[in-house]
Amino acid sequence: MQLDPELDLQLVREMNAPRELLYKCWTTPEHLVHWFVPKPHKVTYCHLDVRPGGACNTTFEVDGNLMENNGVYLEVIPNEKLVFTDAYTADWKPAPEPFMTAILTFEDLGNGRTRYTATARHRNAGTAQAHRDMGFYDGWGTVATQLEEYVQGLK
Amino acid sequence: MPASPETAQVLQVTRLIPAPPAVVWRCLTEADRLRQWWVPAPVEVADMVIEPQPGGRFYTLMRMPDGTEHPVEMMILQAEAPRRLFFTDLMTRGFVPVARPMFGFAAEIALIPEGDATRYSAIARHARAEDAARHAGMGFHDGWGTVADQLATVAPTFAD
Repeated sequence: MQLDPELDLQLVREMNAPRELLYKCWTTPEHLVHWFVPKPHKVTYCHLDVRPGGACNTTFEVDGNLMENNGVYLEVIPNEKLVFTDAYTADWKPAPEPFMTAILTFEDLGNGRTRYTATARHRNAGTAQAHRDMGFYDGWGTVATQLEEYVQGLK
Repeated sequence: MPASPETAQVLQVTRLIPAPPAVVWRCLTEADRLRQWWVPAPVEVADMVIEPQPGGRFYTLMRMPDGTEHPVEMMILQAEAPRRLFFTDLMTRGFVPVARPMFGFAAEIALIPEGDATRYSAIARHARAEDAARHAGMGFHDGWGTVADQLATVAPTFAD
């Protein structure tokens, strides 16, 4: 994947967890709510229809405010890759003000380890900068740590 | 979700194509067939790439009657042979968002069997009513209708 430094933000993490479990945690609401936003913020709603064009909807509670994120999956390769975006809602209705497209890859490193790569693509430099200012690296980094710990608790 | 009626965000053209969906599907997803009808004559396709899978490239190089060429880069969203193809001008190959899309749509081509023929519906969905109005003003119904008529002429020649 070619990155555009102005538009793309990326986090890479080697995790001590098998990719099948990481993928399962990304695609199952019962698991996702436990690690998807930095604590103490909470996921209060999660509906996942894991197929291209299927809904990928979550609501967060951040300091008492509800933040709705409604989007769709663009590409689904079980255990390997998930792409989702807020540029459309279910069944490909374009959204007026899209923020990002996220590309997740899970690369098997052997011995139950995984290289986890999370890329956020933006349509212009201003949106990418806004995401940086919102704390992309801290936020997605914290979430990756929470995910790894949560998966280890499942094993 | 075939053939929903037009709304403020949705534009649609429908035609009956005298060939079965399997034949029309190949005319829609194979570049050497698609280029024969995808742009309204006398505009021609000088080059075409279509990768019918999520994130696949959908590229058309149009050649105008005066010889000038215009590239159009779009992306395939979803391909369900032989019934539904979705594509968009809001992204290019590999899920790269487009900063200023020309129209700003996600399109569905739905193929529904009707006897030995195919009911072809081309549906363009937009984020806002004003985007759809602008697309309509730029000739959506005329352009997409003309190419559907061209498909109706071309498709039966591939029936086998």
